Amino acid sequence: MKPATPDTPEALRVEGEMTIFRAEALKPQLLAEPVPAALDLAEVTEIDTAGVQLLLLAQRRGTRLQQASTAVCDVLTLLRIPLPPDTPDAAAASPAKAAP
Amino acid sequence: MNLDQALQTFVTESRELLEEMETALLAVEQAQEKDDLVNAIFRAAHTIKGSAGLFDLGHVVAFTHVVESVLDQVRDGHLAMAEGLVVLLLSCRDHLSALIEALAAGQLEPDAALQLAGEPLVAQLRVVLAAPAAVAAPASARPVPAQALAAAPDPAGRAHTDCWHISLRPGADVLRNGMDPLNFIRYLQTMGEIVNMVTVDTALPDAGAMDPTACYLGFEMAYRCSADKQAIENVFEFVRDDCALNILPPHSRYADYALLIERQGDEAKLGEMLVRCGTLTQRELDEALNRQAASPDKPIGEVLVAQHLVQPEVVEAALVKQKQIKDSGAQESRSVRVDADKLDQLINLVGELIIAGANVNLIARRAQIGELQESTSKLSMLVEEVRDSALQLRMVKIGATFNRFQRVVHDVSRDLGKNIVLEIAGEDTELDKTVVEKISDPLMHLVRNAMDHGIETAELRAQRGKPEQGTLMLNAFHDSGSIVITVQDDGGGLNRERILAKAVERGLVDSGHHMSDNEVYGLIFKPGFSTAEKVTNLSGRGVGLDVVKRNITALRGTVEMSSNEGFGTTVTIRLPLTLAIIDGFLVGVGKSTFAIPLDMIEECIAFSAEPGHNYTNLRGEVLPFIRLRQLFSVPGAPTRGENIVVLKHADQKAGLVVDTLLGEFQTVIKPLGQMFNQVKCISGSTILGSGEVALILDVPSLVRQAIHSGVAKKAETVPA
Repeated sequence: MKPATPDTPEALRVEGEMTIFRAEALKPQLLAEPVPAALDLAEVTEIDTAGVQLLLLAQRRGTRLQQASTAVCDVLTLLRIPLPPDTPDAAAASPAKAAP
Repeated sequence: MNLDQALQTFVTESRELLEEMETALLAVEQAQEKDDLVNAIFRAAHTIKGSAGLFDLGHVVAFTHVVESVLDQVRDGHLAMAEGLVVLLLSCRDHLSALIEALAAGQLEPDAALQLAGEPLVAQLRVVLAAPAAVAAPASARPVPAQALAAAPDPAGRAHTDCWHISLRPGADVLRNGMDPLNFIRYLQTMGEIVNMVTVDTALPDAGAMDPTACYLGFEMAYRCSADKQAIENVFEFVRDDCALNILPPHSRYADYALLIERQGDEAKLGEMLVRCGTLTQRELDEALNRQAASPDKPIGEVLVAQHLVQPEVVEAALVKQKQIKDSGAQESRSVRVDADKLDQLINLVGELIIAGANVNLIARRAQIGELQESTSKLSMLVEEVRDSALQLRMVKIGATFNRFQRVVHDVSRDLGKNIVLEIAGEDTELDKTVVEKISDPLMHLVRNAMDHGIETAELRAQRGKPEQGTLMLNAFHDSGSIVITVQDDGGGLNRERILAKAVERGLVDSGHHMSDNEVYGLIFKPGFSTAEKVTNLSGRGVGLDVVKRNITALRGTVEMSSNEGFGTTVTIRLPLTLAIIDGFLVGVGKSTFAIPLDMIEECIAFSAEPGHNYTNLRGEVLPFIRLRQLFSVPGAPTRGENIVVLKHADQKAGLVVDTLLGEFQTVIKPLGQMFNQVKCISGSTILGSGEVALILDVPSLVRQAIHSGVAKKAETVPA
């Protein structure tokens, strides 16, 4: 995890798996204080329910999601959770209403 | 499963449920924590109604429905489970029981008499239900065909959607257990189409409280597939125990959705989710919730069953579950009902077989053919096993008899205005069916007696510093070849002086005569003896206890009373385990042979005696004995090498001096004729292999006599 792309310097980049095996380690970073402005998910290779939970919680705290990788997109689409707005096909895949 | 079998299962289950219902009803008045019991009562009614619906038993459904409505009011706290209501519900239970029994007898429709019996009950129940709640007519259990459904909110209350609705709430541990709900959802996609879904994150706590390895998410899915419910459920098989899974079939009743919403607790949220999933339209949702609101006294659970579940398999699944819980129910359905007469005949034949077998044994031994002896000994072993299993057939648990007294205690304590609770122990103790039948009446007498005379009124109990509620206890257990049944109360106990005074007054005993406590209490069993100051309609007329004693004696049993004044009375009944065939032990005196029930023999020892006394030293204990030769005036002098058979009954031991020990013998008890009714120390006769008759000794009376004479002798010799 390192500071991400120059245009969003405050974004946290998550790399590798976002699964139950790393959930304990990811939580303090994703849900850190102060609240990270954004999470860059471009390098996430795999995500499971534990990872989704962390994303939802981060979102609830005001953290934006961006650059969702294919793995993330697949799962979010499956669960009908709105994709980050910068995802190419976000408009098409996202359901009518936004998540809470 | 063919219908007859299913119906049989229903009958068996209903009987059990009704029994549970009765037990709970009887307990509920006294219970501090009523909720569980009320729920149990409700559940019983509810389940019977649900299952009855499956069989289109309209009359059962209709009646149970009214009962259930009342119970539901109770459950919600709108009605108190007061005494009057308990009595009414007990009557309803009895009526239901009558309906079920009629059903068991093959009567699928109620006859006029039953219908008539039910009407006043329904009327009374309606009165109890403050508002005249409409009794839902039993609807047909058939699902309405999908084509018949209109797009608008359906008047029958069914959703328009052709999708299954799956509501999944994985348990917190699933992730840690290596299961990811995502995988199940993905798998669902291979079987059909997830039309829409809402991921529910309302359970997700704040960042601080969140455990990253716990699962907080829930899923509501609209799912289209051609598979049946079982197949969908199977997808979740591995997490079945670890998650809350609700699957609603397409075109479910609004009530079902409303129930789901209610179950999830968060009404607005889940309702909205159902709409978002596309399972319900907003109009349908409003309709579902309105229906619920329109009948607030009729919660959704009831609406559900009243209207019947759409999919029979849902009910079936519930039935299956129920069956798993009630394993005993399943066992019962495997049982065969046999006419008691046929059993008796079998036992008689086995008895004859044993006698004939003994005869063959004897001949074989005389003929001295080794092979023949070997075969006959094998044969008698088998005969013995046949005997045991035949007798086992007649063994029943005493629990059913005991439980019947719950009702008696309840009703009688109401009549008497006393607060009495019945406790039961040892209900699994088995004894011969004939004994169970015959013990019921004497027990009834004793129970009523204890409640009427034994247990004091609440005021008196309070004065004496006892808990206001009196306790009556029935207990049963096995003890050396007999079954012991005790009836115990925590009442006032027996007044020894008063009994003695009364006995002297009646001329039953001499005033100067010294008597032990047991003997004094035994006087109560004399005909016409009553110390009660007032006669009630239940007992106290002095008839009863002597009849009890006579009945028990007729069963070759004994009855004893012990009491602790101020603290209660215990009546102890001892009965032989079986009435027909016993393992006997043969002893010889002179030329006569006697049989002793083997269970009552402790051991056999070589004869020895304290010189000049009728007792011996058995490892430091005084063992009084009786010389059988003297007792029955058998001619001839005692042989050398006499033996003492040590008998045990009711924790007392006594010796019996005999000439020879002849060994074990399967004893078929033949009653003695009327003429010998008064003979003491003999309880019956049996036929030996040689065709001779041997008398069976009555061990209890022998023990009593030995101890009596022994103690008397001792009292004379030992200086006080």
